[in-house]
Amino acid sequence: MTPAMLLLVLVLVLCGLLWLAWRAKKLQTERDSVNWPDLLAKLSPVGRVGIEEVAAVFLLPSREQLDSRHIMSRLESRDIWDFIGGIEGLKTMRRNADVLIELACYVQRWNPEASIVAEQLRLDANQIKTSLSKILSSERRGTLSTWFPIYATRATAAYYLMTQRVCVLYEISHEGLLAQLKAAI
Amino acid sequence: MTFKTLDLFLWAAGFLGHLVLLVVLFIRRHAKTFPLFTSLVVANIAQTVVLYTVHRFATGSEYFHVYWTFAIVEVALQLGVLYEIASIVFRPLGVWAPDVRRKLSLLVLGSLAMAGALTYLASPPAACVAQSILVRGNLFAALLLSELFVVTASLSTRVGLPWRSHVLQLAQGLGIYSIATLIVETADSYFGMPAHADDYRIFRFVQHCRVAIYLACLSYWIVCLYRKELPRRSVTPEMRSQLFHLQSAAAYHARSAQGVDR
Repeated sequence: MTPAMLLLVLVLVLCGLLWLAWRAKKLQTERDSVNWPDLLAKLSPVGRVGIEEVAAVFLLPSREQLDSRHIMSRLESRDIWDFIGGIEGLKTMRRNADVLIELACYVQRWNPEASIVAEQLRLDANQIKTSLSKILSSERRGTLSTWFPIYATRATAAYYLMTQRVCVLYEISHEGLLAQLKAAI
Repeated sequence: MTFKTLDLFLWAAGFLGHLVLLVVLFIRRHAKTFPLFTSLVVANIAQTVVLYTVHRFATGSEYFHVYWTFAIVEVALQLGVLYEIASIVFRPLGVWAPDVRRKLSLLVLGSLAMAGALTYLASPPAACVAQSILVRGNLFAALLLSELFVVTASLSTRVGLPWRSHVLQLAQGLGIYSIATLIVETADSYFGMPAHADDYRIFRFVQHCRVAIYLACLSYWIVCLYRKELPRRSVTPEMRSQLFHLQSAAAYHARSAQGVDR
């Protein structure tokens, strides 16, 4: 490689690094200066009752729901689709998951120990991301009907846990904001 | 080899700055939190004393060897400081955050590969092998440190891991200095070491700018680390209890998920 070409590459690498550092700094500043109403406004509406219904079956299944012989007591694929609003509903949950993590970061301004919850939230958000990508790939392969109920239930349960974790965090750290938060999620 | 007044001033300022920073690290009890950063400061003090003595009483070749030994130790310690920062940011609960461990390892390997490849491709104009080694070695260290700093900052911000103020200030100083060094080393790798007296003036000016930036970072660290950080609040028993119940639900959820996978 000629010195001129190497210089060009090094300048490009330098610009790239400066751009990444600037973006990280900007994101951090935005996160530090975001106010409460703006943060809540980022949350998109989701079917809360439907999500609770699907998550409850997954997190706390009854004896009948666990028994494979009791087909009637299990949630059908179509029911899950309707409860959570299909793939679009899952995409909304995915976007909201990022906002929920930001909500945990918001509390960390006053209570740094909220990082315990933030870490759990990130793991839950990863669960939603993985499930959504598996559903999208099964849609492309034409096997959506098989995989949708399995992964949609897991993603919904993870989302439900995220909302509950954030509510508990606010109940303890910032009770004054809890009512608004519950209304938003 | 003769020292000019500005060189001596910058050298003395760096030495004094490091001494003050070391005192601050101990009186504010940061040495325990940042052992590698403290070691870096101690190494810089030792480097100044030893290099000054070697410069006065030894040959140019001996100076070159001692300079390089310290340069390698300094880069190793700077990498150690980055590890120290990353281990505080990415281990909020005492263990590496499981969702970032793999990403961070890949990004570190990528940074190493990129720095290695660009250094290998560099062919700086140099009068002798020693000069070429000097430029390439500095370029590699500058590239690696800048990349790792940016990778750490970007990844932690993306996943929403907060930075405590002293860690952030330490990283900011190191990051700014790394980027400034990279700019200088990029210029050096293109222009090479100076062959004429006029070129040497420009080279010295650029190096003085780099040292001035470092001194600014040093002052920033002294002021920031002298100031006290906001006290941390501890988890209340009530919070622990509620988190425990949620954790139980999450554990059940994980077991159910494993059942689905099988």
